[in-house]
Amino acid sequence: MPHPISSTWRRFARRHKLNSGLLFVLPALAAYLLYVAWPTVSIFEMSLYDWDGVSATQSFVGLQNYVELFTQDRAFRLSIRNNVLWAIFATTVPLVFGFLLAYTLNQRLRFRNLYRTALFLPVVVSSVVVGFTWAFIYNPQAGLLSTTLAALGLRALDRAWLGDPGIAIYSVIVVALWQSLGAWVVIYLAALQSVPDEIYDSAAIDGAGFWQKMIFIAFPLTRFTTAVLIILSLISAVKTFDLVYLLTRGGPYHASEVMALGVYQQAFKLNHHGYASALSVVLLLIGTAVTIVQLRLYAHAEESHE
Amino acid sequence: MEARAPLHTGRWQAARLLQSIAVNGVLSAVCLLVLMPILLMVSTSIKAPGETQANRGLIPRQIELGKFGEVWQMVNVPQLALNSIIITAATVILVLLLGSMAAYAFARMDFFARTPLYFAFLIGLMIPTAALIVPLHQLNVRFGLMNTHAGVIGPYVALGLPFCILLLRSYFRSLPRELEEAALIDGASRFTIYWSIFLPLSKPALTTVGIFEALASWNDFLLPLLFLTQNEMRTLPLGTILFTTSVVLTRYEHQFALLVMMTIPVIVVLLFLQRHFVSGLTAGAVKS
Repeated sequence: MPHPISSTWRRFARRHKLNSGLLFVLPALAAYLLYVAWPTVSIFEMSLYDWDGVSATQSFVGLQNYVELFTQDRAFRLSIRNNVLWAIFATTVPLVFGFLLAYTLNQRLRFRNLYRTALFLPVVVSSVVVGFTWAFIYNPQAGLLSTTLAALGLRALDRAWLGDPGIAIYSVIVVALWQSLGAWVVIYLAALQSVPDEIYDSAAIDGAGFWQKMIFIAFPLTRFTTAVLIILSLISAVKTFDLVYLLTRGGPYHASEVMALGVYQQAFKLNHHGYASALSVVLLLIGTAVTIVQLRLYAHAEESHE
Repeated sequence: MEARAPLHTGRWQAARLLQSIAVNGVLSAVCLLVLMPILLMVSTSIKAPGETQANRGLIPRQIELGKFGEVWQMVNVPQLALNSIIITAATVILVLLLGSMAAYAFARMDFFARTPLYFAFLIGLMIPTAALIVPLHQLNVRFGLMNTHAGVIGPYVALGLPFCILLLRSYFRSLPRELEEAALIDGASRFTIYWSIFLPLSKPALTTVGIFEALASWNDFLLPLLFLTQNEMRTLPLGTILFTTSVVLTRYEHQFALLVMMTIPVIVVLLFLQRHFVSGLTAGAVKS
């Protein structure tokens, strides 16, 4: 005969599904709570204080950090603009060229795997390597870009690629596009390979050529992939840090600042930990907004799939 | 149709050949352009020291490889590589272990708060690491984890779990239910089913996640930059940043030699495990 307390507990546990499933999730959950959930809550709290990160006293300033961020911080305004520019270019340019390349590669080509590997290589190379190499290419006057322009008689187009406030962010974005193009090609190629040949064949009988098949068959049939790629690019545009840090450190005069770099600089260069937390909160909220769109799309796609 | 075809075969083949030449020509040109920075890196690394001052082009005038050995010692590559390997290996093992356990439960068991917990993990896909660096720094200071491998492994694992759980959950769900039903009738525990049935069957998915986590932690420099400030704790990317920005040695050839050494393992992994890269990239993005 079971002990009354234990049988009550068992009933309670069964009703509330307290079973070994929780034990399976527990280790991951513990790591996640400590390193993701707690820090997330913590930035909200810390954003209400003025703190240098070292001293014992933190003074409560309410929403002062946010007010300053949105009304007085030129670097923050520029970083929002740059993250938006980043998002626009990182979704449109690889969409056109990535799809075009993938569609071209999706024919019977002898060297297809070779082309694919070559295009994919920049995706796996470390940002540190990418940043240093591109800084070398962008070197004013002496770099490969400037010398190539000079050799072509286009010296008039030469610029201080990373030193001119008007174009620094675009120079960094070009590197990001170079780095991500291969991923788009590979993903589109996989999607295109799932389109059955018969669809193209029947279109060919109706007289459709290379471009018509691409625009009216291949592109619409891979629209789900396009949607996911755009969302992933938006997310990485919000997160972006590496290349800006390596190529310009956000300069000159904050012209190529992005939000993630702002957090780093406010906290660890200027010792404004409270202010950096307010910036982190804004970064996190923008990020989460994009995630919600993503989850909705995933759910929608799964629904129509099942 | 069939009767007429042979008449046109010759011209048709010629057109076909021309088209093939054009397509391959364009693709080769695009690939060369894309590979150009990488070729430039390799070519600069094998130039004679000082040559780059006069020759920044793609073709080296002289080839000199001795500097690879010099850099190897100067930057203490073995130490940097060891730190990178320890951090990457620990991250991959922990992410796979914790992530696969959670993914199994999310895929096959019903328990308290299953759906909210799963969504809580999914939201982590989005959280930019940079948004958490202020509290993570505090955490490491408070627990005495500054300048320890654990100080970067912990955040890497936690931030890597969402992708791992997302991918493995859907993989586990695709495995047939009969697998575990038979085992459950035989009295096998949930853990036995997970450990000796699901894990061995999921090697492709585990490899994919493993490669992704390995690449992410191998290449990352933000957390090492903040949490690993002592020389002997630095990772390869961090050591490379410091070396390439140091004023002591401004010879491009040496700096690019280090970059080449850092890139070789990644390229080897890419060439041998490309299939897994592709399946990882396409996991969510392509409807099967």
